[in-house]
Amino acid sequence: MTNLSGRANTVRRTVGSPEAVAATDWLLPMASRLNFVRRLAKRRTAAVSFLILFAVVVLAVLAPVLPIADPNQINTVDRLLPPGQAGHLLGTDELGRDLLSRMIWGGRVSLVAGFGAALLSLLIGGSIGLVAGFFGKGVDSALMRLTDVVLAFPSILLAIGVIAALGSGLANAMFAVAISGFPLYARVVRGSVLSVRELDFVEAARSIGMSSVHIVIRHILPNVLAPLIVAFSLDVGLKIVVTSSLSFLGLGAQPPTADWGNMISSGRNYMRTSTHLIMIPGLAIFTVVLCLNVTGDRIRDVLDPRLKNT
Amino acid sequence: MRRFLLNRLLHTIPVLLGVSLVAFFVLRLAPGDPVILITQGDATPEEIEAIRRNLGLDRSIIVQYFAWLGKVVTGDLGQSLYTAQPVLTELLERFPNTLILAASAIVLAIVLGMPLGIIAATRRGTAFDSSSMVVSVLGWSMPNFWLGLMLIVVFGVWLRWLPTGGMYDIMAMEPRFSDLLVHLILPTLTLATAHMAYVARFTRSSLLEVLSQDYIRTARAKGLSGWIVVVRHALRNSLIPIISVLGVTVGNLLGGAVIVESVFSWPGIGSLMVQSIMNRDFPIVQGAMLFAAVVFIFVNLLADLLYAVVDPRIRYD
Repeated sequence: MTNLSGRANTVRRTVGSPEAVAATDWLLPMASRLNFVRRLAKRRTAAVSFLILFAVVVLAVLAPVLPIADPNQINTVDRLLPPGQAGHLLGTDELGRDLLSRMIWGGRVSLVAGFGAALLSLLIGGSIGLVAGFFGKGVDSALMRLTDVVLAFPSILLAIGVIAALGSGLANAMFAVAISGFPLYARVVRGSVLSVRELDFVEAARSIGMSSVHIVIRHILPNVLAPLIVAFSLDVGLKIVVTSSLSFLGLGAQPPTADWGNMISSGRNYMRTSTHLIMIPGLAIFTVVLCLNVTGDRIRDVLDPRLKNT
Repeated sequence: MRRFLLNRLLHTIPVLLGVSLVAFFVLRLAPGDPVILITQGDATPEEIEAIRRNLGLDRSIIVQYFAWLGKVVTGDLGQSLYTAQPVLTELLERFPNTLILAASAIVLAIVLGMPLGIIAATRRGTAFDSSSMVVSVLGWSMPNFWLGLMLIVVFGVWLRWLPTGGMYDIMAMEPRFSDLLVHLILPTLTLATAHMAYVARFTRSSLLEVLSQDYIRTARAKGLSGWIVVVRHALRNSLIPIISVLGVTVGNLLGGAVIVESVFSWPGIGSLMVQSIMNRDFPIVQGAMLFAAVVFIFVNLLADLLYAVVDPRIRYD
């Protein structure tokens, strides 16, 4: 959760970069799209990270059809079994529930929470940035002051405040994290819009009488997508950490729903004797976030070569 | 410089007002009647009406906000619903503990992160550079609550070298500084790791940018040794963006402290806030949010001023 400002800074530096605008070319023709994927996979670490992420997502999606135990099936006889037992590859938790099954189902919840929070942040912040940048003047000033106010709170504290008001739970935690994280997107998009809106093609669209909404959707939006994708790819990992942290504190997903964060929280009481209860879900969060960061870095390098090696 | 200072201070006022608005209204989002929350539903309708009048809840929301703001400005943040203590007293009691933790973490992040970044930048492309950046990405990606628990398992449970939580030994007759230091090691390391990774990464990129400038080439061309060029010419200029980043880092440390304090039972503002949510003690949550935001705003103000002191271009702009 600590990395938001750092990433915001890195991302902010992409704003207005001609390479970032030009790099949206890949969004259109198929050949360029393939070229983008090829360039992404060029770095071995990025390719491996992407494959790991793909495998985790596939497991999470296929959870209902996989031949695994019910994640909430309590079996007090087989409680706290270590990994490697017959029928329980990763062992069992304090209520005898199969840890492998809870990891797969929990991954589903943790991934949805992180991606969902980042997507909601993107939608809220992106819209604010688009409106502020395009209309400028008073609208811009008012929206950016709002952004400044949200930025004045350490993000997790604001999220906790929102949860205090709305109540604990996964949906509220996602919403709270999204609200506290939207300024990143608002700033990135506003900066890009400001650099694009004065370009000739926007001027031309305006002069032939296109409406503002049409200009924003047809001409501005495609040109701010590249920095937005970079910001999103670097933000998802952070959102997974923050939503898991909230679950760990008991403010996110509530038991018996499995979530990597609350699995660590409940395993904490047994960490002296059954370390695997905190080790395995923690390693899962760490690996997924690491892969997301490595992939995000690579996406940034490809979409904005100016920032390569920074 | 005075104009810059004044400008910057004036810019702070609307942000502070906005922060107060958010802190006030965010808890108004809470479903249900605040009086029912305060009384836990255990009061007669007459009592509820009396409390409502007493708290000014029968007035319009705008009047309520200004009445609340008037009190906040004089330091009255209300009373804890749980302990009946003034909120400010509770916060000030805990704040030094959070400050100790955050300050140790930032010192550690700078002391380890900056040299790592400097060496990586000066040896760009070497094995040291790539491995330090790998370490940085690893540190950056590690969830701090998990890192904290793993450190407790290794150093507290398996090796029994360090205490697993708290600020002092509960059996000790009186608090000793050496005891505090021992209790501080694991939480500081946990809180500092991600920031250290970020400081290292940012120092490296900032220094690399400066090292490619013409005046560095000139310094090298006139025969100065590599380290003198880095220390005397490059580092000073690369410090400028690092200062502003540290301002933001302090704010993030305050946020990160919420988690780390809960993991290590550290009696700071963060653990108080989490406990207060469990107790539905809204005045404390509201007070802690406001308090943290004000501290964050002033730390950033300080960082901006420092930035202007180091870089004359900013104050004369």
